[in-house]
Amino acid sequence: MNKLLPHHHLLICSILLSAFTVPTYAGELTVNVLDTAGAPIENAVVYAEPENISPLPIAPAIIEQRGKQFNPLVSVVQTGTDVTFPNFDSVRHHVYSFSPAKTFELKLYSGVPANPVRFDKAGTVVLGCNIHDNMLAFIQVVDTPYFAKTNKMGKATLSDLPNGNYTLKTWHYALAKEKDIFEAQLAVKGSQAATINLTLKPFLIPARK
Amino acid sequence: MPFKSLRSRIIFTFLTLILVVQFVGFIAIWFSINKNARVAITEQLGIGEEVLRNVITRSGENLTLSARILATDYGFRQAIATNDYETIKSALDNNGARIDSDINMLYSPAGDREVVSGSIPAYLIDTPILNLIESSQSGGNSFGTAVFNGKPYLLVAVPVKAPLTIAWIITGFEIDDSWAKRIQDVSKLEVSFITKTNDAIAANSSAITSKWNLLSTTMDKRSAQDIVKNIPLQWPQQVTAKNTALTKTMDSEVTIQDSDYSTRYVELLNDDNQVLVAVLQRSISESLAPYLTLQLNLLALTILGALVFIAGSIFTARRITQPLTALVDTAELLEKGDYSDVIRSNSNDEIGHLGRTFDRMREAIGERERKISKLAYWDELTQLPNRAFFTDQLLKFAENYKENNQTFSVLMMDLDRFKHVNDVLGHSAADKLLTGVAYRLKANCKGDNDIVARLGGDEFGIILANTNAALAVEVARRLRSALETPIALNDSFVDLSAGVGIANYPEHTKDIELLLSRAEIAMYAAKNSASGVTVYHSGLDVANEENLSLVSEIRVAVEQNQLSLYVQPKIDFATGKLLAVEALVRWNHPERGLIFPDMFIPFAEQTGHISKISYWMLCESARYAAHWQKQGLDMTLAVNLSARDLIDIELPNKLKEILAEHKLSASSLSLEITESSIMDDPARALDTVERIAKMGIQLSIDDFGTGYSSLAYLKRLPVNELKIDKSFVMNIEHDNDDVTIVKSTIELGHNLGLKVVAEGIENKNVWNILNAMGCDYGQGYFMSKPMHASKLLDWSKQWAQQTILVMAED
Repeated sequence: MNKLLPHHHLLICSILLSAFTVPTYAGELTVNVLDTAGAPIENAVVYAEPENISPLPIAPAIIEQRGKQFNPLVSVVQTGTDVTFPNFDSVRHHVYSFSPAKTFELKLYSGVPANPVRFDKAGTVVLGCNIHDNMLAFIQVVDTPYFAKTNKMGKATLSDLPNGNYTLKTWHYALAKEKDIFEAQLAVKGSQAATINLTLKPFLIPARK
Repeated sequence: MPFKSLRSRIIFTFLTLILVVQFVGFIAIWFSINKNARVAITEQLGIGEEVLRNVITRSGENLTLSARILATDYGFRQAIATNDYETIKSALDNNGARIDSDINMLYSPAGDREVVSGSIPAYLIDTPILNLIESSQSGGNSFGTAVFNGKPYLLVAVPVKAPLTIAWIITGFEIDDSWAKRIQDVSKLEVSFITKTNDAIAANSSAITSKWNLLSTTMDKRSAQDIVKNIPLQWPQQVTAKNTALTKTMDSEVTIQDSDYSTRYVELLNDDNQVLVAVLQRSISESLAPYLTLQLNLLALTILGALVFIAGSIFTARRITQPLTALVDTAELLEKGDYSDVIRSNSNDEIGHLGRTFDRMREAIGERERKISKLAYWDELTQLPNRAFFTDQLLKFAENYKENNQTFSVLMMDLDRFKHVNDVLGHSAADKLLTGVAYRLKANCKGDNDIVARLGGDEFGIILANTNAALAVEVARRLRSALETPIALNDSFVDLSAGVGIANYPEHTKDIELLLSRAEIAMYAAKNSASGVTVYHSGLDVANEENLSLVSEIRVAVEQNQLSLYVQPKIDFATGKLLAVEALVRWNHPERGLIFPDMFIPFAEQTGHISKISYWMLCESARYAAHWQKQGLDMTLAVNLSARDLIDIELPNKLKEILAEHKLSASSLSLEITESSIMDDPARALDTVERIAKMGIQLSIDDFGTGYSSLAYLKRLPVNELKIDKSFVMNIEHDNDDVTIVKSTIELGHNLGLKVVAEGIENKNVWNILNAMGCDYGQGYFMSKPMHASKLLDWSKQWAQQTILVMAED
């Protein structure tokens, strides 16, 4: 089922931060992403880039191809993450990306490709299948381990977020202007909640089963 | 409209009907054809529009398809993703060459023209392209029209997806003359494309005019100007929704190069800048051409139909009217009385039925007319023709005289005393009498062409063909003698007698009416005379101018004392003495001199003047009687009385007065009456006679033997004397029958106690015969002609001296 989000001419971003009782070492940031009409936005990628990145082990990610669809539609990975593209369909797929963040192609294959693809540059990668025009997926590659996707309620939670100063960013594939990723400086001190309003353009997601 | 014949009326009616029907039909079909033609044209225009749309759509789809093939090429997409413009351009070039497109470009999703392949039209503007991209992106048409540099193009916008849209392929064809030709080939319409710069733009720039510009057309150049000229000024009225062309149309009728075209304008583009319109046209006269042939055929059929109908009408009318004409001819014959023309009608239709009915009617009328004419011309009682037939026959005889010069005579006969028979014996006896008479008349008319008819009552008429007066008299006498044998009626016998009048054609007149009336006059004269047969002569004719004037003058004669009293002596056979005189009348007419009574007495009787004459006679006789008595001549004057006098009940009184006036005794006058004068009205006459007889006046029967000799009557009459008619006396020397009659009469008279007088004694021999028979008195020229009364005295003296001589010679 296609989901057509409302269209707005102006980008209006605002953040409302409220302080809770803040633990000294870490906190939890709950972000509500709404559109300009106040409706929750799903699949928005919320991530917070700290001023200083402390190295953390990076877990590999999986984007399945099932029923001639990528799953999930939107993925968010930290820079340097290896992503495998297991094909669960009986047909073969030709996964490609012409996105500047990562250009690659996995020529016709079935099953699990031998090598995962490493996404080592931050940015948005649009995935397609050269065989099946309807297959579409997004990978937001971020330079931080602190990231989350909004659920249907438009809610994303960044947990175990150490106190400190962050740049809070929010991306969505239907952003009215693709380059205008929402950014806000955020000083994390304990748990906090924030509400972000995004202006989206109509975006036709091909039918997903 | 008046028609001389049924035929022309039928033909006219049917012809008018067929012409009206044909005309109405022709008009109706003509209108229908015209309407159909226009409907057909409209349908053609609709088809043309459909073709136009199909061509554009198909071209657009083909263009889209080829662009899509390029857009899905992995290498091409890769080139776009990597901004490899060289590769992109070469791919666009390649594609353009393959599909022979005129415009090949790549636009970024943001609407920037990024790559251009080959040359693009001058003054290319992005607006229509961006509109098209937007339409395509939002699921609308991926193709549309645009005008660049005054040339129309069909454009498509196809997205390049990887998998999101990374670019737009824009490709397009110029809509050139070949398009118009293609559409024309399929639709058979004239196709033109016209454009103009939108009014709004034109209004803002003085450089651009908003005139319509012809882009391409299938018509010739001269027509092209008319196409542009004829575009309705107000159309299209306003800018339509972007890229939703191919929806607006308008129909109208325009004149191009003097011929009418049904025209449909199809709006292909109407955006902020340009208006593009396809013009589809169909020549009306060309469309009507096949129908014109149809109409001509129809007209020919109409005329042919009318001709066939005229022929049919004439044939039918003739079939109807021919038998009618035959009927008319027969009817005209019927009108003339010819019933012989048989009508033959064999057909079983109404006319045939009419013909047969008419024929039956002809027969029936003929039969009826025969019956009617028999009735009209026939007397049922006597089985003789009637007066009408008799008159008709007279006319035919008259016609025959003209042709063959054959003369003929008319005899008219009237029975004497028929009225009396009728009164005494009754109608049925009278009918028998008439039948008997008819039988005898027929039996005695021997000529083949002779006609005996009953003219009415007791009157009979006879036409004797080819005869003369002498022959006619002979036949008349024969008829009279045939009637003399008494007819037996109801066990008694009736004696018959009749007066017969004769008129000859053409001797007496050539006029049939007049001939009949003259025969009738002669008949009345015959009845008054002893012979019973009279041939007409002008003397009888009341209508004779001379006689007519006499009739009118009789009255004057009496008043002016023009009458004279004449007397004829009656002499006693035994003594030879003068015993009496018969008074006679003469008329001293101032101009004509002395007129005898035969000439005017009959008319006086008819007109009634006889009474005055009789009265004058009585008075004058009385005067002379008185005069003679004074002179010592004592004798009786016998005055004749007519039938009319006898029915005058005042007569006895008048007689008394006259006798008294002259102091005379009743014996001084005697009266002579004829038998027939009594028979007119026997009852009254007898009454009068009896009263006179009682006065002592003597009566004598005059003309005895010529009338109805009923002895019974004679017995009843109080008469003293019989006067034997002179017709018997005059022939007594030669006719033994007359001798017998006279002798018998004398004996009869004597046996009844009556004196007998003989008239018409003309010589001594007759005197002697009568004397020998014992006749009492005599009267005649032998003794004296009638003389003026004034001369009697002298004569009586003379006679007294002669008497001895007369007697002595005996």
